[in-house]
Amino acid sequence: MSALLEVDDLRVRFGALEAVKGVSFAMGRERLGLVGASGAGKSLIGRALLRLTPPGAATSARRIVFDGIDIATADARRMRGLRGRRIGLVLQDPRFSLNPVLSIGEQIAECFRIHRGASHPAARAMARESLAAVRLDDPRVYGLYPHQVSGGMGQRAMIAMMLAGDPDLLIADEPTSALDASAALQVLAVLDDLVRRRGMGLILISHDLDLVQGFCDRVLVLESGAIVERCAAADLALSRHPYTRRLLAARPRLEDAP
Amino acid sequence: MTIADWHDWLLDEAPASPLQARLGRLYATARLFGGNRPALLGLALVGLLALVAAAAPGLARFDPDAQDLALRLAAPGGGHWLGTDDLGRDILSRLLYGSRVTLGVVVLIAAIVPPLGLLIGCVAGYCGGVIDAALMRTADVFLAFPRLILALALVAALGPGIDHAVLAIALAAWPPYARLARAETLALSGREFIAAARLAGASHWRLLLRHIAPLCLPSLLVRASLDMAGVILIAAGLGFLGLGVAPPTAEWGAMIAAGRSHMLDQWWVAAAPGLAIAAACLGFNLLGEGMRDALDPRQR
Amino acid sequence: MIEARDLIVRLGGRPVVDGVSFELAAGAGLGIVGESGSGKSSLLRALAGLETCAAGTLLLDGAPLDGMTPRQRGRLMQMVFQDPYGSLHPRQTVERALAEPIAIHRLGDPAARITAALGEVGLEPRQRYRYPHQLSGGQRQRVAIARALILAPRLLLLDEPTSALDVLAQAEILDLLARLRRERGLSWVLVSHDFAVVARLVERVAVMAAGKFVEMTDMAALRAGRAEHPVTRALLAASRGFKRAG
Repeated sequence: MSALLEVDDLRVRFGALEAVKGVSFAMGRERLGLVGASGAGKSLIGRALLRLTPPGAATSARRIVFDGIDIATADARRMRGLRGRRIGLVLQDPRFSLNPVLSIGEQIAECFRIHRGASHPAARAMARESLAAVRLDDPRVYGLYPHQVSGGMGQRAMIAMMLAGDPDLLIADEPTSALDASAALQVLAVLDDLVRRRGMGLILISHDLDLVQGFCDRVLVLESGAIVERCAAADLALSRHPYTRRLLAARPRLEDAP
Repeated sequence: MTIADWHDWLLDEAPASPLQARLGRLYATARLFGGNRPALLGLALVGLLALVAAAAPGLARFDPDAQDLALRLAAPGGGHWLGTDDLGRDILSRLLYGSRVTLGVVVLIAAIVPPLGLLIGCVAGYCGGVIDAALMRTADVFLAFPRLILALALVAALGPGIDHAVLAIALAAWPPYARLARAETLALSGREFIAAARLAGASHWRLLLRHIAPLCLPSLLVRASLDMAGVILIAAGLGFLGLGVAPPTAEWGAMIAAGRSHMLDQWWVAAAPGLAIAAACLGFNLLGEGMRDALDPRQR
Repeated sequence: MIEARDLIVRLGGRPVVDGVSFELAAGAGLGIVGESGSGKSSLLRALAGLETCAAGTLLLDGAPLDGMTPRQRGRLMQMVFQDPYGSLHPRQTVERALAEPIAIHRLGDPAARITAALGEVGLEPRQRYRYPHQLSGGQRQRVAIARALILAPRLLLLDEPTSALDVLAQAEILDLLARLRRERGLSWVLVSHDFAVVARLVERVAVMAAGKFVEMTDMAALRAGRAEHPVTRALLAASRGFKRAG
C-alpha cells in the first residue's frame, strides 16, 4: 500500500506550550483512528494537516506529504486546491458548519458548481445524488434549511457536501459526538459505506475508543500531544499501555450496575 | 516584585484571591487591547482630548474670548500659532477651550445613554409581552427620525443651549442601545446559567442586575465608544447651526460656522476646528474598535 | 417525591411532552431515555419548573410545583445541565457561582460551605477563584454539581450530564454522581440518549418517543436484551456501539 499521507515530526505550539509534540505517522487509503481525551491534541493534528490551526498556533513539521504534495511548504493557492477538493473535513457540530440562509440542497449544489464546474441544473442533480448517497433520499430534504433538520441529518448533509470535491482523504473530527446514539450510528453507517465504495482514506478523530475500535483499521492513541500507542483496531482490547487501558475502562457499558 | 513576577502573578491560572482573579482578567483584556496599535492610537487621541480639556487654562496662551480686531484673520505663525478668527481671537486657545464643551457632551452622553438603554433593553427583553412591546415601539418611534433631525427639532423647541443639546442627543441616541441590550438579554435568558440561577431561587432583579446586565455591558460600551464620533458630530452640527452653546463660548462647531465665510481666503479658521473634530472622532472610533476586539467574548 | 399525571408541555403550540404520567419514590432514581427531539429534555425542564405545563398535575414532595416560591423550590430540587460551558456564568469565578445560592437563601458561613462543597466534588481549593474558561469540561461540570448540591436538595434532575465530556471525564463524573447519591440518599431523574450511561446511575428506565413514555422497563431486562418497543430496541442497539458491516 503506497502512502496517501505521510506526517513526520509534526509539532504545534501555543507560546511556551507544546500541544502536539512531534507526531509521525503514515497512512494509505485506510481508516485511521486518532483517539485521546480532550486536550490530547488530536483535533489540532487534523487541522494542521489542512493548515487550519487557530491563530496563535505555531506549526512545524519535518514533512507532511499528501499524495506527493508537500503540505508543509505548499502556497496558499495550492492549499485552497487541496482543502475540500482532495481532503475533506467534517466537524463536530453541523449547525456551525452549514450556512443558515441557504437550503441544504443549494449549498451542496454550489459545492458541485465550484469544485466540478457543473452547470446549475447538473449541479442540482448531483446534489440530489449525493444526498441520496448519505441516505437523505427524501426529496423534501433538498429544500430544507439547516435549522429545520436534526443534528444527524445536518451531519449527513455536511458529508454529502464533502463528496462534491470527491476527496481522497476525509478527516472526520468527532463527527458523532453532538448526536444521539441512533443518529450517530446512521452517520457512521454512511461514512462506512462511502469509504468502502470510494476507496477514500479516512482519519477519524474521537475520544470514544469503542467507536474507533469498531470503525477503523488502525488506531493511534494520543496522550498530551504525543502518540503513546499504535496498533491495529482489532488488537486494541489487548493493549497493555496504561493510558489506553484507562480509556477502555472509562467507557460506560450496559453491564455496569449503579 | 519585578515586572515579570507581576506578569506571572496576574496571569496565574489558579488565582489565590478574588482580587487576583479580577485583576488577572483585566490584565489579560488590557494585553489584548495593548497589542492593537490602532486602538492604542485611539486611546492616545482620546487621552489627549481629556488632557487638553482638563489643562486648557494652563495650555492656552491667550484668553479664548479676548478680541483683537486689529489682528483679525491673522495667518498661523508668530504669536498666534493657528492664527486668529474674524474677531481676532486666538484659534488655538479657542480650540483648547472648545475641547471642554466637546468632552463635556461626550461624558454626559456616555453617563446617561448606555445605562438608560441597558435598563430599558434588559427589562424589555427579560419581561417580554406587553412591557417589551410598549418599550420597543417607543424606541421605534425615536428610531424613525434621523438622529440629527430629532436633535434639531428638540433644541429648536427647547431653545439653544448646551444642556438642551445634551438632552436632545440623549433622547435621540438611546433606542439603539436599548435594542442591543434587548437582543443580548433575549439570547442570554435562554442560556443554562440563567436557568441555574433561577433554580437557585434568584429573584428577577437579581437575575437582571447580577447575571444579565453585566454581560450586556461590554457590547454597550463598545457601541458607546463607536457612537461618540456621531455624538461629537451632532454636537458640532448643533453648534454650527447656532443651536449649541451660546456665544462667545468657544465650541468647535460654532468655530467652523464662523470660519465658513472665509473658507477660501482664510482656510485655517475653519480647518483647525474641523481637524480637531476629525481627530476626536477618529480617536473614539479606533478606541471603540480596539475595545470590541478586546472585549468580544467570541475571540476568547 | 414526584407525582406527575398527564403532563403536557407545548413549545410553539406543538406538544413536545404529550401526556406523561409517572411516580418517583423518595430516594429512587429514574432514567428517561430517548432520541433527540423525543421531548425528554422538555419534560425534565418542566419538572424543574423551567417550562410551564399546559395541562396535567405535577406534585413534588406532595405539593404542587406551581404553588411553591422559587426559594422553596430551590431547597427541594436542583438541576445539572448538559453543557458545562453554558451552565456557568462566563464572568463569575467558581466562588461566586457557589456563593450565589448561599446568599439567596441567606445561609450562614459561606466560606466554609464553599470549601466543603468544592471538596465534596473533588475540586481543589486553589480552583476557587478561577473563571469557567480556566477550567476543563469535567471541572466545570463538577462546579455545576457543587452548585446544585450546595442547597442540599433532595431531588436532583440531570440533563445529559456527561454527553459534552470526553470518556475519561465522563467516567469521573458518573462515579462522582453515583457516590454523591449513595452518601446523600438523593432522588434523581436522569435524562440521556445512551443506555450505557443510564446503566451506571439508575435501575428503572422510561423510554420516550414523540412526547410519550413508550416503555417503562428496568436495566436488568435491557441487559438481558428484552425490549418491547422498536425505539427501545434501536437505542439499545446503538448503545452497544458501532459494528462494521461485512
